Amino acid sequence: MKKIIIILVFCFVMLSLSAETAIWSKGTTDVLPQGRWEVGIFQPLSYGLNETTELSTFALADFVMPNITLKKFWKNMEGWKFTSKHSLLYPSILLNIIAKEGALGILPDNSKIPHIFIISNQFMLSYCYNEYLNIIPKIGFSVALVSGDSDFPTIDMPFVYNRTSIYHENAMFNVGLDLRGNITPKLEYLVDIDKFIMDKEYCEYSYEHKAIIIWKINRRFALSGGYKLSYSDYPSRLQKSTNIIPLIDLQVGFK
Amino acid sequence: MKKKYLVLLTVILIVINGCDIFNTNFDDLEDARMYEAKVITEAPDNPALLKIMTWNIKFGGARIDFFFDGWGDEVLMDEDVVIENTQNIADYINDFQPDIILFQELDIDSKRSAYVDQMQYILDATELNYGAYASQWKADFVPSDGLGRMNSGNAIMSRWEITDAIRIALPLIDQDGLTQYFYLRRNILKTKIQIGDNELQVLNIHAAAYSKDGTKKEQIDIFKGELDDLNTEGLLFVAGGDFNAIPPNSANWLEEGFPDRPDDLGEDYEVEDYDLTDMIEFYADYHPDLPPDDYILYEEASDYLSPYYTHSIYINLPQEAGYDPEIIDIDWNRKLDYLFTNNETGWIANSDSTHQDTRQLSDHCPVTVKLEW
Repeated sequence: MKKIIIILVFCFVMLSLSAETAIWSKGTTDVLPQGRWEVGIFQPLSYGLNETTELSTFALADFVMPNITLKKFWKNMEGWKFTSKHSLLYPSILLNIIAKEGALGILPDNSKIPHIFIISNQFMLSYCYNEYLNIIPKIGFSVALVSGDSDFPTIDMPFVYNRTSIYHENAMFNVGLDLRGNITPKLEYLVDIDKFIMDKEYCEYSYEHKAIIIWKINRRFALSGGYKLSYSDYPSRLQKSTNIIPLIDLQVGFK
Repeated sequence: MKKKYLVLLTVILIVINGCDIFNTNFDDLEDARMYEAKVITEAPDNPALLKIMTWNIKFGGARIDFFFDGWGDEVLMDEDVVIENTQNIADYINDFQPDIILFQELDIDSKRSAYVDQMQYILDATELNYGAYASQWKADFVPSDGLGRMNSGNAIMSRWEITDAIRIALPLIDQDGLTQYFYLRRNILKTKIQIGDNELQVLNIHAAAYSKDGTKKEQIDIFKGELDDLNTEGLLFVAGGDFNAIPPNSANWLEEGFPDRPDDLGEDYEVEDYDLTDMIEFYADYHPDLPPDDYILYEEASDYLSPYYTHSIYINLPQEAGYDPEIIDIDWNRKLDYLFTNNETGWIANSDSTHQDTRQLSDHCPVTVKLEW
């Protein structure tokens, strides 16, 4: 056991010898520069803790769904950057709130919500082909730790089912690929595709794709817009639907 | 400031409505969804008579106390419960062997009924071969009361091929935009069925239950208009469904008089007062399943104990589970389901049945009648 710990610590130290920071780096393998804050209407509040570590949380959601994510830049290996993200989420308060009668009753009023802790781990590589094209493959898994009586249905809603089915399935895997690059010095594009593998028994899959343009106005503001598309399995046998939503966000940065 | 929020809300509603993100909308006229049994059972080319049935099956919910009943708290059923209830409905159909059925409140893809496709299930479990379905409540997700995905509607099943089927949209109840977006969209399911060398028009309606703005009457009038058009063209029809209206000669018709309304029933589930004129033109122009003289005979003789009532939302009888002796006995208490034809000689005399022995299968019972062919 001691040997394993020593090897792991050694690997972590070796991997942490380099740093790669950038502003407006959400979704990339870079982390925020030390001391910089960024927040968006639909993006989490992020903080550059040091030159290799970034902390983020959806601050407004914290009251009903405490969450925190640690993003760690590990290593730049001959053009390949390696970063990982580790999140902890407690959705039970929110699930209890939306289990109600009437409007916004997403779950039935008689639902029994257990304590649910979600631990997510994402691993990203990034290869800079040139300034116009970064290739970012990613892979991840999430596990749900559930405690207490549980009796509530899945939320079979586009963009939500694939993220919440883990409350019932206890594990979920995802793989994806991002393409990202500059159009002009201030304009950046992002095109991605993700696959979620949700249910081991029924082999349910969900695919998501998004395309956005990010306008880095200055160090203080960035504006992004595009669309997100989902093609997903659901518990319904007749439903395998494609849904699309517009994406728009204003981000603000400090320092 | 308030004005700003109103403008913002209006814009959001317009965007939501325009985008139809949850797929709740329909065109005024749409093709119905067609079904076929997995195994086709041979039907006679020239039957001597046709057995017609109409049945609101409450999505296989049987007598479970749902939240919208006013006193229950159930929202979603387990799959085995839905299968059992739907099989019971299929068993009853197999006992009576109808040739054509008009269904209301049949689910094909709803979370509340565990996504059981009751259309396909019933076709496969009976000798009915073909089906047409028109959704009246469809949404990828209803964000209210935990309902989730919904696809429920009217259906027609037949032993013979349905050669044409369309969904005709009916006017919507006057509601705020957001509620209306996710609410029921009533319709007429209009089909043509080829029986031997002849064609029969079959129309099905489930009119509004909770309208307080005259929409129900408007829907019923449009249905009557469709029948009149067919009649003018000289086409034979069978039409019916759940009209949510009582016969024109009813003795019991005041809303507060019906003994099945719990004191704490929410406003959303209050029906408008019944109007004795709702069905009057149907009775005047076409042949109803039940002659009005027969209907009134029992109602006048024994208050709320007619063998012709087709609906009750609440049961309190000594033989039922959960019987409360403090509450007045309640059983079937109004007729809302009908069948009409423009056949020159009407239905076969005395062939009508109101199947009140199905009390445990739905809050409506089937009505059947026979047509000479």
